[in-house]
Amino acid sequence: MSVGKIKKGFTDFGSNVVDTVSTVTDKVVHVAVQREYDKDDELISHYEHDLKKAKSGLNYIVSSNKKLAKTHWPRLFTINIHIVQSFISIIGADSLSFKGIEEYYNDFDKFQAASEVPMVHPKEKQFLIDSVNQELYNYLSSLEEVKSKVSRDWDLHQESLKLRVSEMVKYLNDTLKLIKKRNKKKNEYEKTERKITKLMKRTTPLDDKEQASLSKHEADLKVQEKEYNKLNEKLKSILPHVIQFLDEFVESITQLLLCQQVQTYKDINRSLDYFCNFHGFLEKEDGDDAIQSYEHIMSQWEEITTPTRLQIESFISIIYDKNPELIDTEIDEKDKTSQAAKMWNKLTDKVVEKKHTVKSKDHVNGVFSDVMASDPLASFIQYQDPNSNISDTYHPNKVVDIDDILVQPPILKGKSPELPPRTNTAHTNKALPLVEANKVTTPLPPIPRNRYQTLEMSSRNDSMESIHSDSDSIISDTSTHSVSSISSDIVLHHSTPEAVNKNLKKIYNSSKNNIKYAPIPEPLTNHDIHPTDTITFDKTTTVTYKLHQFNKFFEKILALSESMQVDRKVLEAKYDFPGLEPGDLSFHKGDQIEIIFDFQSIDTLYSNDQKNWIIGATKTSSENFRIGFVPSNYF
Amino acid sequence: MSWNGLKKAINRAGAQVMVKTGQIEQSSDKEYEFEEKRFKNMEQNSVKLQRELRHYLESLRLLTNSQINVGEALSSFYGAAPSKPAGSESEEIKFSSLSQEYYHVMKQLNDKCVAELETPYNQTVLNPVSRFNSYYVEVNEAIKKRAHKQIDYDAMKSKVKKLIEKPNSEDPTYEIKLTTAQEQLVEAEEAYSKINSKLKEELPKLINLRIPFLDPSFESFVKIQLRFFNENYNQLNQLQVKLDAKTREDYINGNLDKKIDDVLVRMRELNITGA
Repeated sequence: MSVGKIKKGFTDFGSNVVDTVSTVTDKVVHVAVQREYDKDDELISHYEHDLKKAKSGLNYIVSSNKKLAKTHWPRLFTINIHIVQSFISIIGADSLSFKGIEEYYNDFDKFQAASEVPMVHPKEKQFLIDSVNQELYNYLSSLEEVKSKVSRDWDLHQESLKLRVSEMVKYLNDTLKLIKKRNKKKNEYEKTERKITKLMKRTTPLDDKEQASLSKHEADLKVQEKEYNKLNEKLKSILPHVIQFLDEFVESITQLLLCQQVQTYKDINRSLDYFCNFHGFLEKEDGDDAIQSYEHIMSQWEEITTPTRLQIESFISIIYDKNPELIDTEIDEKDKTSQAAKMWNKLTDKVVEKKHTVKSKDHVNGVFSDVMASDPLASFIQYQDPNSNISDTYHPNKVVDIDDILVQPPILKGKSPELPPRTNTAHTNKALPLVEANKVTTPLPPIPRNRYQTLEMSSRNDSMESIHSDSDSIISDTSTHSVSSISSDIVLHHSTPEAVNKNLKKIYNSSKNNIKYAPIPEPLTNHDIHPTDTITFDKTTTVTYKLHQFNKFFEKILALSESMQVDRKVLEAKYDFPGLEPGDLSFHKGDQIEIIFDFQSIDTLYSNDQKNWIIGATKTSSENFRIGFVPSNYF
Repeated sequence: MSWNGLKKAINRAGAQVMVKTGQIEQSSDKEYEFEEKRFKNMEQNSVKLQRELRHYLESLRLLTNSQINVGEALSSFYGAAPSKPAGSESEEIKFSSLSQEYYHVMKQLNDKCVAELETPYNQTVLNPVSRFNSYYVEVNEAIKKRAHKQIDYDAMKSKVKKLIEKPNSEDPTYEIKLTTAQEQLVEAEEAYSKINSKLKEELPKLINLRIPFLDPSFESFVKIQLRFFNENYNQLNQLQVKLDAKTREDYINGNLDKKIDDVLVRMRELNITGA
């Protein structure tokens, strides 16, 4: 700090001198240049400070990380293993065996051989629980497994981090050296400059010797200036990059550390989870195994141990009942030993685990503050956040609060009710003329042409693309002459379903008969696909035919409902319906479906169980809409 | 200690030396010795267990502390951590860097998870074991008492034996001495065998109860750890999820190191030391 001040003082002084001298002579450096150097000084000293701090910070991170990898993690596992081993030696298999136990067993064997009444061997008398033994040994082995994995991972991680950080530190050192070199050059330059100024200040004319030294100094000055400028320029161009790379580096090691930690916790968690699951330590909750809460663990423990505790205490009082108050006193580890341990830990922590923070010049924004700076407006336009950085140095991953788009697991659809029986649909389709014949006595008004177009448009929107090419031509062919006639024909005269079908078939086929031109230039020599192949033929025609029929049917219904001037009900769909057969209207949950025609509203006797197919429409825009059968129980 | 007790203690001390030197024949009960050794072994191990259990908590604290320190150092590169704006209700703090958020999460983990772990750990693991260890005080006193009675009995036995082996007919009080000694012997034997058989009977029972008493503690020790690591994992995983997908993929493929190397390569390309 003080050095910087002094340096600044020097340059101020220099510039003052230069100011006065420059009026006398033009030979000396310009004031403007001088002032720019001041700015550079400030900037570079700022960088220097930050780099030094960053270096020590990195070193600290490496050493702590090493401690984590070499000491803390292994220690945690080692102690854990010790605990289990102690548990095993107390309650596990072969527990409580002591040195020389064989002698006792031998003695017993001798005694047993001599006596007539067989006695239980002391070995057999040991009260052990196999499942507990197994539990302990399994835990021990799973722990050892995790330990080896975690310490291996951390070793690797620590080594790789150390290697990389040391390289980074090397670069930082180089940069610092460069800064030092630059400052040295600057000092030299200033020294020479002062010498020149001193000579220039002379009022008496310079003698030869002085003149020579002046010209030598001037030559030196030029060389030094060149050298200094070179270094300075280089630093100025390098430093922002260094800082930027350092930023990326720190970011990356944070990521690495985080991922490493997550991996470790994941490993431990998985192994423990497996163990607990295997031994049934998990809580059964809605059929799923859930990890117990601390409260539950405590209460369960209390429940299990209390009877045992009472039993033990009664035994104790049988054996020796001198100071019963000992049993009744609450053991509170936390208050006595633990408290002391805590204090001790705090003390040792302070010694061993010294904290370290990077104290950058800019306390609020840290080392990378200048790189972070950007035009807030531009940032806002780009990222909807004025604080985001738009410059080259911006790393998109820096904005951590932008969540990734997570692919939601498919949400199980609310169970959509069973579809109404299809036979019913067929029935309605055929029964329609009957109903209409009964109710509507007036001839239907001719269908407006534009209405038809919209319908076609809408059918094109539908999901049955494969058949459009077919149906389009057919519809346009027949529309002109048949629509009105059918409506009256079918509706008023041929009221039996067979007749309707027959009629429709005729119309449909008549349109086909209009095709005069065969697109195939010459007959196929290979008759693999026979023209009378009924299967393919039927298949293509049935769908097309059906659609065509439906189209006309919907036309009629529309015209009818318009003529009847009924207020159409608009219902909201409760479930998704993909549409299963031609003529179905697909819709999503929440769609507004306008009910065009509901048979139940006309014929109350018609399947009044609320389960049938009604005709609905959804608006795709203000004019266009899609129409089709919808299951009534989906609303 | 009463005068009587002091006298007894001095006598016993003398007798004990004689037992050690082989002047008094020591009565032995193999069956009892077996149980006592088992008991001593249990005591030794459970005291060790208690110590280890205490160490465990310490090492856990050290671990989390160290992790926090690393996090803090990383975070400090980015300056002061943004704190919750005063007056705002939301828990969300906006972090400008991953390191800061990492530190924040680590700190929260330490504050919350470790603190939460302590109470159940103390209650169900550490305290039961130390309670179990506190029982030893009583039992050990009983064992000591039995040893005293044994010495009394052995001393009496040898005294009577001596009297019988070297009948001193010249002494007129010999007969009286012998009878009183024999009476005392019966008394001492009674006291000794009473406590001996009691211990022989009760010690195995006590020893056998160790399993139902300590096993739940072991179980909750495991359960607490599962809970703790699970919580830690979940919290950190949440943060990891916030990373971009590329980074996560890189880590899974082991390419995160390469990314760092990439930065280093670019650093090298700056040619800092070069002309």
